Amino acid sequence: MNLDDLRRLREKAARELALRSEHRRFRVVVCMGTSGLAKGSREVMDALLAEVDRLELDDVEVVATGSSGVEDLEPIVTVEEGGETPVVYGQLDADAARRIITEHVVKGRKVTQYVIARRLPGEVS
Amino acid sequence: MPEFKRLHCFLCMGQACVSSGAREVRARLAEELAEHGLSDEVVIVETGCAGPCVHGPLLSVWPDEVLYHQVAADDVPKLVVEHFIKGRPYTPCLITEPGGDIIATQRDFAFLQRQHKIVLENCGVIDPERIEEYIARDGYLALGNALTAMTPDQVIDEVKLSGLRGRGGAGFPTGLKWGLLRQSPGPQKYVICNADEGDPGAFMDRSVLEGDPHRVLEAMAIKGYATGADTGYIYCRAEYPLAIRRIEIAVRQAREYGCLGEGLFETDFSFDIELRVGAGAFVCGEETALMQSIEGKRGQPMPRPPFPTQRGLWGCPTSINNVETYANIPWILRHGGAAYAALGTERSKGTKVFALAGNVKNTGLVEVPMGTSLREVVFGIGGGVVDDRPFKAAQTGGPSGGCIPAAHLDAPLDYESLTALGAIVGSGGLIVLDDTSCMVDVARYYMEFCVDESCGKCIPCRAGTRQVYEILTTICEGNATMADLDRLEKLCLLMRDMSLCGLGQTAPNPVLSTLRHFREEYEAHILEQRCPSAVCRKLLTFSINPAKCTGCGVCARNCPVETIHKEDGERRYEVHQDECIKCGMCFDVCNFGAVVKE
Ligand SMILES: Cc1cc2nc3c(=O)[nH]c(=O)nc-3n(C[C@H](O)[C@H](O)[C@H](O)COP(=O)(O)O)c2cc1C
Repeated sequence: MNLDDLRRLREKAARELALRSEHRRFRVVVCMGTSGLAKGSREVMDALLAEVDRLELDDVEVVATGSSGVEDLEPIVTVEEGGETPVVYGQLDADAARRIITEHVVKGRKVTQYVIARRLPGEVS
Repeated sequence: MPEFKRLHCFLCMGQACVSSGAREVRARLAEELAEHGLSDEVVIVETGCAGPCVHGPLLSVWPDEVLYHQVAADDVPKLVVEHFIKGRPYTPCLITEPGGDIIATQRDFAFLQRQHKIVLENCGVIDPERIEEYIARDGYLALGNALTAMTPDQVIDEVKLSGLRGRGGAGFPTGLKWGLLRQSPGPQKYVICNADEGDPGAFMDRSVLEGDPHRVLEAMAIKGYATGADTGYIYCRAEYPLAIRRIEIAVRQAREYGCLGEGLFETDFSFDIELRVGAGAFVCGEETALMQSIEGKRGQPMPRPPFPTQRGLWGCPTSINNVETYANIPWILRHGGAAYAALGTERSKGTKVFALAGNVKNTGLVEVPMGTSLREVVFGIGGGVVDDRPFKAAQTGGPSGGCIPAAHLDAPLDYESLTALGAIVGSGGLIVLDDTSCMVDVARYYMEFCVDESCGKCIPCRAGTRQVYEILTTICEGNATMADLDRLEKLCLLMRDMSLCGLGQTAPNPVLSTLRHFREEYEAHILEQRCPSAVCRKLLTFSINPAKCTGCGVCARNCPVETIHKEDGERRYEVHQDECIKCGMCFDVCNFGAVVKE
């Protein structure tokens, strides 16, 4: 091993550990309350995780949260990016979840078809 | 299995957390994750000691940064559902601050936030059994860079610039020590890592080896390059089985990855490390005794000179550093000696790890810049004295150290200030004593340790520790005179000046320092046959307060000499003093606080 090999190894390992640092660009929040789970938020979560994994994204965290309170629109996912207005997507399935990653997170294009709200950071949805 | 994990669960597997049930928590967590189909998206990382041992078993969850404490296996099913599935922190396991505030994240936990971590920067944050995690945190970059871009002299200059001094006790400047080995001629030289950690209060070396072993390997290799040694020995006591296992795993991985072995980083520098396990004698931490032990001989100190850098292991030039000393090195090379020297005081640079123990709320490992006040460590980080009792003193440096009384709470913790107060930084043991500790008894405790641990080679130590111990015992039993006190002081000074090695030279320190700061306690024992802290049993009387006694008789039933009686027809009990052996059993068993000890 030479120094460059070590540096490459470091990059790869660091990506794996990126979750343990404090700042990532995107935060994808999945409502996993009882109603969400009943309507398929588990599948949505699985699809999101698989897509992030497949694309080797290291600037994203996917987290679970409680019920949104808007049961009709579940499964609900919110995408937060730095100081931007968070985008709330609803009535998702696995396919839609994958598109949120490939379109919104990777290319910065919102998947308008599923957008149900845009709220200011801190505002309760 | 996908590589991307939604959550990383750090489970502290330091010795303290393991003792309080971390393994059971780990097993249950794995079961529950499997049960809920979460095994692929949540990873369990076993880390070394995270520091706040009193809170163990500790579990922290990233990226949420939620910190759970005192997690029991039975908490796990609910925790998994609440946090991992529903995304809400599981409140029963969150820490509550003394003020009543609930702490949800690591960031809000004063114990962690008020520290400054260099030595412990990876402890509790990486899996110590995976070299990749160390590499991800810039591990081995300092070695690679030193070998390919720096000369040995440049490495030594950087260490000198940092101002780093030995953390094993004596505080000898590390850069200077390395320079001496470099200048010492010889085809064969050795470097040694002292992981004997004999001070009964200290456990930072164990925690570094358990939590971040590669750090020490990297530093030893850097030292090998800087000084011209191709072989390193780690001398670790057998009482540290987990540390030993992790060193072995780390050495194996480092060899596989080419961080140890032949021709490192495509240069012609070769370096390898061997582990030697010691039986755990305090004197084997002394450097000349340690080398004897590595050579397979009886661990006894040798006169110096010759110093190890002149004639050490198997007669070859050798240099020894402590685990914590090594653990600073990779950081110093990555950030520069100047960055390290910016921390601390004028003559004590960088940070120091203290093992906070005794009557303090948050026990555990604390790393702070040198010069941080004792008050900040005990009250700011440690949360204050248990039950908010009065702070009496802090004992630092274990059997070689001394006490800092309450009047000096604002003293900066650094080599010079502590020495001026008659204490030492030592290895960093810091034991908080409240008003229920008798200082004569404390001094006697440490002397008893030294009686056991004296190797017997030189008379001042072998006979001196025993004599001092016996005088202290007569004082504790109320049988001493003021002339004994003089004798005690003289003996202590004689041992200090005449003993062969540091053990005997420093063994009187706990006595000298308590005599200096708490002389009135010695005098109360001698002149008034009274132990002001009500600790020395021979000087106590046990009696029963009739106003509080309910007549339940539990004291009488438990008294081993059956000297607690009640008169016929009376409801209350009394202790008959002539036969009382002052064992204190009645005091311990009374449920009504009716037994008075004074
Ligand atoms: C009785 C006695 C016990 C010692 N025990 C230890 C020990 O457990 N660990 C340690 O690092 N140094 C111990 N030392 C200090 C070592 O002799 C030596 O000074 C130290 O390992 C040098 O490393 P440093 O310069 O990095 O501090 C002990 C010294 C004496 C006299």
